[in-house]
Amino acid sequence: MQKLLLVSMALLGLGAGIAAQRERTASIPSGNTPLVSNADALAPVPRLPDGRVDLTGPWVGGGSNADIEREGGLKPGELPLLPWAKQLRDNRKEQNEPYTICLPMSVPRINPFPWKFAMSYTSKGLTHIYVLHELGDSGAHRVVYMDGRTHPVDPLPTWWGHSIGRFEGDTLVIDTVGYNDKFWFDSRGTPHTEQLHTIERWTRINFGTLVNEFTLDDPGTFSRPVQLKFTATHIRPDLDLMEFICAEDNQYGIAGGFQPAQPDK
Amino acid sequence: MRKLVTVVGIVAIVVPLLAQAQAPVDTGVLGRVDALGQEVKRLPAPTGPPPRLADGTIDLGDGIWVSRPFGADIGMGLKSGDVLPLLPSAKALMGSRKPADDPMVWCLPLGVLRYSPYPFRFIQNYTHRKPTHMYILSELMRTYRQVFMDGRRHPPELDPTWFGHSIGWYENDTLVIDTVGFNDKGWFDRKGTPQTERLHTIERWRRVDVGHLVQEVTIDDPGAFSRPFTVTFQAELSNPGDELIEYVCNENNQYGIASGVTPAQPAK
Repeated sequence: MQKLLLVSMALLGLGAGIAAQRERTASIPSGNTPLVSNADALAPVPRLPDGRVDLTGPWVGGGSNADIEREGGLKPGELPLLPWAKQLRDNRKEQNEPYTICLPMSVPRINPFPWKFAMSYTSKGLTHIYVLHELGDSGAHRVVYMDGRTHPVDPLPTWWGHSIGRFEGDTLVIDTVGYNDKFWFDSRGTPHTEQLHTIERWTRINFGTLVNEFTLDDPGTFSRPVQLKFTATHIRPDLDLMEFICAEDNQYGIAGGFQPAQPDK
Repeated sequence: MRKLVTVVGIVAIVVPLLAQAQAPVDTGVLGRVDALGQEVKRLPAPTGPPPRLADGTIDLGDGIWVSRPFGADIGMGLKSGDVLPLLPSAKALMGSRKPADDPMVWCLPLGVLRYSPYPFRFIQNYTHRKPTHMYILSELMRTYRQVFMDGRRHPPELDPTWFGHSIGWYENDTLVIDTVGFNDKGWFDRKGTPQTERLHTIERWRRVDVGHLVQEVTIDDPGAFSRPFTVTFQAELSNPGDELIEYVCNENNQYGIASGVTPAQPAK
């Protein structure tokens, strides 16, 4: 009985929370993030002392948000959804999206929040790349193993899956498996299964532009693998990600058009 | 009204957490459940000279760290015989706090000093402008702290935040992190030792050998303490192959190496 009471309290509360969060997501003033100037955007790609492309960012964009089909460059109806998946997508309500209750957005949904690649250089070289999101607890950090390891045979399904990366010339290639089936690709509700396998190919084509050639493969959801393309834009270079705690709904962050306080000149 | 609705939502998320916290002690395959790593058998941390980056800096980022003792009481880090110089107002606030008020059980950040029992990791990010940021990642909630290493100063006026505004530099082999701009919501420990927005911390991190990292923190908060004081904690390097794993607090999924689960291993 006590358990039942707890569960029903939790459900009631979550329902009410979702209503409030729906209001919040609808009101996120996205698109206000200050971007690099047009002139600077065309500057050459900066490189590290070892010659490698600097992919750090911060970036905004480069993934899905409202509709992965449209934003990934496909025409309406071109996404080869299996019948069950199409039905599920069409029945989902935007306000039920997991990220609106502060659960992770996962791949390739990063918008409208800014993010960056944090390169972990250690005495063993570049061993990990972390993707840091401004959307604190809901985005937080994603790890990409760069030390040459392979995927585990039987990974426990997680929100972020198991990501391994490598450079092919100037392109960072990230291969991920081991996802859970809980997150949505977009607020439209495009679903996937635990069979999801993604390959991201990130290429910085000039100072201000980072292209994500994205392979989406999930035989549980799509009748064939699909190739999508997203583009991220560099944020004004003097800005840093700000603290945004989703569980507090505090709405700070450069995503909301705020700017970090500046040091004394 | 909207605020009230949101609060109800948060309470609902927390209810299962509290239910879990108050459950009778249970024993699982790894030992006591909810013991958060205390029962996990680990190899002793290695000794020997710490590794260095190509530029000669001590490498803090080649593994993950677990702080001991645990975050029960910040006073455990004082020199023996020393006591926390709590102001009467701070003492009264502490006395009124209940375990269920701990921000951690609401899936809010632990702040800058309270890592344990969750493992953490330093990320020395290099850009074409050299090392500009140090990030400190925590397994709990997957939060990250950012420390500006590019020589900037604190802004004169900051919006108070959980992690504050941190600037860092090296003094010989010691990483020094100076932080202001905290909010007053964080707890230093599970006892509820409080902080105010006047908090200023200076952390000094020394990797004394491969396996040991000493964290010496000077805490200056005239709003909560009658004088500055220093606490010292030690972290140990986790076993080779350990990685931070996914722990989504809002789901209360309790994964993570803090709870004794080890990451799946690649195919041989």
